[in-house]
Amino acid sequence: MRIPTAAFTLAAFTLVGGIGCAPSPQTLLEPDPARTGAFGSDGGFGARLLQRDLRVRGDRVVSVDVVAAVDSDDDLVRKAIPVLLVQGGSVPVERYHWLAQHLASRGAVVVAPHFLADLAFFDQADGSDALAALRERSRDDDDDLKGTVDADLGALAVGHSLGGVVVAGAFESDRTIGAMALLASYPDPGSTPTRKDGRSLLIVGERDGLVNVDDVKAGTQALRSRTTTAEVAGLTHFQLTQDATAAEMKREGTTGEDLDVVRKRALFLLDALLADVGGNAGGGVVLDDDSQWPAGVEVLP
Amino acid sequence: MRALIFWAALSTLLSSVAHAQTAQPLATPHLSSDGARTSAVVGVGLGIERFGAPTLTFALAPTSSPLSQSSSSLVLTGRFDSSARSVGVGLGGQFVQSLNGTLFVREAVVVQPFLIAVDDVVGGVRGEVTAQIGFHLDRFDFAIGPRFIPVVAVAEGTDGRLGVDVVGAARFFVIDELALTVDLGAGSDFSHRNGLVAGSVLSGTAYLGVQWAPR
Repeated sequence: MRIPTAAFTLAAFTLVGGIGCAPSPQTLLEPDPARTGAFGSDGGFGARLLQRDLRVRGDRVVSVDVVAAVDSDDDLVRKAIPVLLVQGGSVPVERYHWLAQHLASRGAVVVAPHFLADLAFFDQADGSDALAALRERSRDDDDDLKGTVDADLGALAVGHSLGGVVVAGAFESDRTIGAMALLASYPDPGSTPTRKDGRSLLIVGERDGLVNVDDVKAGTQALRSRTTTAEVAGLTHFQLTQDATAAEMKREGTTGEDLDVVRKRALFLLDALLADVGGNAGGGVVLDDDSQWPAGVEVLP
Repeated sequence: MRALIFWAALSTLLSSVAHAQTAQPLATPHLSSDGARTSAVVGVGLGIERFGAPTLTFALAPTSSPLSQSSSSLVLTGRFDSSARSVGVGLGGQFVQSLNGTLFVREAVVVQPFLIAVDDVVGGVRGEVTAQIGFHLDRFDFAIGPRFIPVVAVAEGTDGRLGVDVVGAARFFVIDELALTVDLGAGSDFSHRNGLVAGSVLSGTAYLGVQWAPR
């Protein structure tokens, strides 16, 4: 029932649109082929932020931040790895731009929905639905995002804190998601995961003031998929967000270690998982062999 | 900038209203003493859905009897959702069964084709099935009951949702010809993806309407 007529489209937009035009794309990171892209470091692509509204579930709308990879010709990278990024509770999506930018630099196109009141449990289907809408936009010849998603790849779903709980639910029910990464998070203890395919990665900080390592271990044991669980030395809960507030820092204390160093440790395994999702078997090998992990990243039994 | 001002003004105006939903088709109006009389009831409402941007609704219900009497009538509805950027016009019917002059039962069914302009202009159909039990007291009406809102849109594929909520309505007749109505609803949207339930979404509605029945 698509209405192709240009005049009708114009009239319809005049009637019901025209109220909120999308902001201009914003460059988050310039491409630099000199960046090696070792696990834990930025890749050679740039990152561009596009803020969009996506239609889901018939007549609902989800506002999303799409952070897409950009090549040295300043074009969006085609056939990128689709990534869903779900915000932590009461943490605005903007505070995860550093992470989306990092993933985009490594060849991903990241979609991060803005959840109601920044609480992902309100609209739990928005993540999967936004991902599906992104894939649909990628198939549309008239869309800016045309061709950006590699349709043959399963997606990587990443969630921080509360977002991880929601991502675990999406991973369980949405087979277009091939792997999930729970950062400072674990699946809902009341859930009973049954999915056996795909990969799961759980990362918890040694200095995390909000998430208990024992809960993460218990969450790992509940999962049926191939799972890697790691503890990162020195990492706090809010170091996985940017611009942590004074209250958040006070709540957890300071780690005493350089932010870039601890984040690099945390990103090492996430990058390996992204590579695995993207078809690079080396990523999976690294995930399965903790002897290849850097100092400060320890496997949780 | 004008858009921002528009949004700011509307948000301020509606900030006291919690969350919201679409217009219900108007129930039969309360008319004074002389009872049955054909009139056309026109209602306009403005509300918020799911804490989102304003939704404007209108309804037109030709009718012929006061609320204390049983009646059935056609209902014409319209809906402009500025958040979803959709417009729809629907047709349906409602049935009011008076139980004892004070209690009444109301059922309404509306089918509403719509166009939505997010990314693409896409068409779809929205249904609304409501069943309420009500209480009539002097110049007040109160009603509460479940509502089902199936929505289907057809773009590259077919997608949609099933909204299920409980909606309560309170209506006050300022004068015989004019009523103010507040609807409050809460429930969930359910959707389906890849053969599995993808998850539920909380749905809240608040809607302030004005109904006018010219004599």
